[in-house]
Amino acid sequence: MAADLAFILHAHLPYVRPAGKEILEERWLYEAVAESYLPLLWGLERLQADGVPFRMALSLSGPLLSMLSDQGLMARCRAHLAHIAELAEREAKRHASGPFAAAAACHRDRYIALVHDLDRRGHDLVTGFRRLQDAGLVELFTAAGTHAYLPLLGTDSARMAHVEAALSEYERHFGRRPAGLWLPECAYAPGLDHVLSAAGIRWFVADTAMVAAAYPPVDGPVALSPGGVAALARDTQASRQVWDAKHGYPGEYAYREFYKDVGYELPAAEIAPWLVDGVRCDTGLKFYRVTGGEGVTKEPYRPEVALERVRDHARHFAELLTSRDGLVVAPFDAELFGHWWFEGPLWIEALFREMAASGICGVTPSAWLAEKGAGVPVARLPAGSWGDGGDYRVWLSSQNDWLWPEVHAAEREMEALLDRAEMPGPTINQAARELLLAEASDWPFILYFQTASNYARERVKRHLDRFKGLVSGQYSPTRYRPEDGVFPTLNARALFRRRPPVPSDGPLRVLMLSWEFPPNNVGGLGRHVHDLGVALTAAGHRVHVITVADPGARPGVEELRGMRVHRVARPPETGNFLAWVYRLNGVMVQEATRLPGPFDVVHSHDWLTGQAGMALKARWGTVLTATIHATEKGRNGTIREPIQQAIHEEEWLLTSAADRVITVSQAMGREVAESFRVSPTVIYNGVDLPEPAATPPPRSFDGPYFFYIGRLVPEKGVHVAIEALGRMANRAHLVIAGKGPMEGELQRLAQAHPDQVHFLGRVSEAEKDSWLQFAAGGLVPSLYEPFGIVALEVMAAGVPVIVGNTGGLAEIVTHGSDGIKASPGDAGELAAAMDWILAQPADAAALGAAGRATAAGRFGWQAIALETAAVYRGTPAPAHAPVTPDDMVAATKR
Amino acid sequence: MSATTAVAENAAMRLGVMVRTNTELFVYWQPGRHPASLLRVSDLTGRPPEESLDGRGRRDVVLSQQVSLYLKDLLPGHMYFVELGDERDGAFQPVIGAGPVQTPWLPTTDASTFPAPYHRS
Repeated sequence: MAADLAFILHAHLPYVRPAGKEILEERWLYEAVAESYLPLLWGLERLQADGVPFRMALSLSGPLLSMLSDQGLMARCRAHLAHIAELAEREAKRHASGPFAAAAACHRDRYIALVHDLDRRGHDLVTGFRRLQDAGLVELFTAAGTHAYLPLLGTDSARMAHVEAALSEYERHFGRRPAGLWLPECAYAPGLDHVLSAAGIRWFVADTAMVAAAYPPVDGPVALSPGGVAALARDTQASRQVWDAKHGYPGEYAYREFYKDVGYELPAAEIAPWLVDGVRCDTGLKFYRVTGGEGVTKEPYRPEVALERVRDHARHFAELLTSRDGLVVAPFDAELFGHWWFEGPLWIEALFREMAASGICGVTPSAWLAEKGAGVPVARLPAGSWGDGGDYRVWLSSQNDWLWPEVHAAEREMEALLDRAEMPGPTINQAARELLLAEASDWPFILYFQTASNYARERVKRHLDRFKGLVSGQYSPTRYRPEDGVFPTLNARALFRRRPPVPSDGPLRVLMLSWEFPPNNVGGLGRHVHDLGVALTAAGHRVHVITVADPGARPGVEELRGMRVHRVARPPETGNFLAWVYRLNGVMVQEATRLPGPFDVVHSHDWLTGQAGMALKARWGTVLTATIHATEKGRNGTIREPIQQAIHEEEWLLTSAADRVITVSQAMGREVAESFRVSPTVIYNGVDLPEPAATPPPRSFDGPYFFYIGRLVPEKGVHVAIEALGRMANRAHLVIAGKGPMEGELQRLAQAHPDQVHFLGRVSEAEKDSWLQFAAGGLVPSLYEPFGIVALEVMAAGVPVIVGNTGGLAEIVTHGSDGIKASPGDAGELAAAMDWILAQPADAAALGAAGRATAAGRFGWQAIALETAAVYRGTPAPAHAPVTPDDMVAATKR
Repeated sequence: MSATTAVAENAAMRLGVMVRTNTELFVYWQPGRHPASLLRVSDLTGRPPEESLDGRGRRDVVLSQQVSLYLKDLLPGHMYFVELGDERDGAFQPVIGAGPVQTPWLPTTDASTFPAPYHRS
């Protein structure tokens, strides 16, 4: 037994590129090169040379790549290290004998080696890392943009710009795109996965608690987001072992002490040449060991003893792995190893040697996913980060909250800038650089911990000021390019993607997503999508529909009355409906990306295809339209169960992401507006006028019957209809078509009326028409009904309809004019209405005819197609001539 | 989209709502022509009133001269919509609204129980 270790390092430094004289902050890079990046390369290259098998992943952030490939900056780095080597030489002579001799000699030899190695590489570290990737040993990836804290940015275009900037920079260096992306500070929010997925990213690292709190719950350290990106959770034990200040390896007493640097220890006159503007600072020469806890007198560092502890700790960690199984994700900041934990790079090398001795070599995230990713469960992660508290408190606090309004304002200005065709490319590109630099997570972090607050504050203000100056034309782009030259090949207009407008006239290319579609009709949604698609096609638009194949059926594509219908493979049942829906949406996205694009509009019907709609919007920049046919809150009255909560949230995510929201009734519109604070457009459902039934129903009764068709669920009020049967003055029958979870209970209620209640189960369209057209009346006694397509079908058949006075039904039917309304749940009122129909056959027939006229006029699909296309285009619905019954018949036959 | 940050803008003002922790939002506004005197945060989680914000699903905050504030003691995993406006004739008249955003449904953690990463800067 042994765990798969995914050892992941993330290397990042804020972009610092001095324009002239030396500044203190540029030493961040030089120290990291000397203490972390080169020693890491040395260790990994020794492993490779010795044939030790190992696998790991390393993220190199965009700013870091820009700086490491900046020849001018690397020349300064080389000069700095040579300067420190001089100091190290002097200190080694000073301590030629005595307790610090070994430590001083160690540092001297090290700095001499650093300078020589940097020269040998031509000041190029990136190539060294690339060779390790080319050898299949290290999976290189990158981090978002300038290390922006993505969830706190104000717009998706800003988030996408950071992702794209990083991927382009990575591609510039490595000739391909990475599979993974480091989310700065592991900061995540629902919806962000679509931004990553659209950029082709397949995995990211999440904090432990986020995956542990995923919904539906997952068992293991990896969850696949609804957007199809794998979240790898850092392992608590592995993290603590290395990271924890109290219990982690770096606290070992034999290891080198971080804080006692000769930069602070030597007399001012002696150290002055190595300081910046006389300010004492780290030089990298530290001759003490940790020694003990607080208050102890520090003792000299002994490199040979520290090396023994390194081997002990490597062996210990390897033993932990052999005592576990499954995937262990161990992500760390790369600079922990070497800069803070001096012996860290040696420990990494020793760890892989120990692991190899145990027959394990580690795994890269991409290799693990390729081998075992198919079994990863799908779930939604909560927002979170790996910072204090697992949330955003560090990057949004009283110390730094002032910067976010300014950043958000600049993001909006940036979007406006993209529309200014006259703005020169270099200007807009430099403005984008300034914005991206202002958004780096480093600044709010430094401000929170107050380590270099003045510098961080100055950097944010400087970049925003330069951004404004460039936008206003006050500043020239060449003025700041040398100093703020991150992402040298950046193209802002490509980076901040602008959504192509929907054509204002002419045919549209529409992709509709629906989880049900004829013949697989669970409710009225499938029928609606079919009829809308037919009507849009008849109006000249090109419509594709992606839906799911029926149980047991094979996936395929068919041409259906001008539409192209793609039935994707039905995902296997997982025992969790939400997880199944996420899988289905993933399959739909795969299918969509195979279609010839681009589409002008993606149209999701209900939350069940919402994630696919959001994914395609992010991928294509296409306008997303959402039709909300019903809501979870409306169906249940309130939200109580976790699955209800999850669905409610899916509805919110969809309506938030959608550019246009449609509801099928005013009542539904009010419900959606109240629940999610969006402003939907109401477009009623439509109906076809049926052909006269050729044959009567296969069964007859000893009297007239009323007909119900629909799902057998509580909100449909079928139990009220059965009760009403018993309260009628006249004897009648009730014929119930449909299936549902309430069927058993309804059959039990029906026993009170022997031979009067008849359950048909599911019926065909022809059977439905036959039963309906020979009925005395059609019942739609719903307690909750967003629209009520069945009522329209009853009216279209010319049959008197009785509806519950609720939701969309209340809007469809004009009481006493083209139908009858009864109070929802009131069996007495329903019985009275049924009696009236039987007692007044002539008036009832007139009511049925009026209902048919209403169905043909107000609810014709041609008109609905016109209104829907207008919503797609974002224009007011065009005025159109009333649609006649003849138009309807003609339309349905096209 | 991000489920944790929402920024809205109209002719009158800009309003930003940002999740900070599982029980806390940061709200800022940049006044234009309209000085708002009342902030309303509504709980859109859909739960019964007794399980929603302050037991009634919303909270009103009277504003003075500030341009930002932290809304605390919210509920983990809940969706919040924030509006700025005035009270006229006894009724709240919103001028601008932003959201909903969702607080993480993570349990509240003691930041000291698990080490946050050391940072490079």
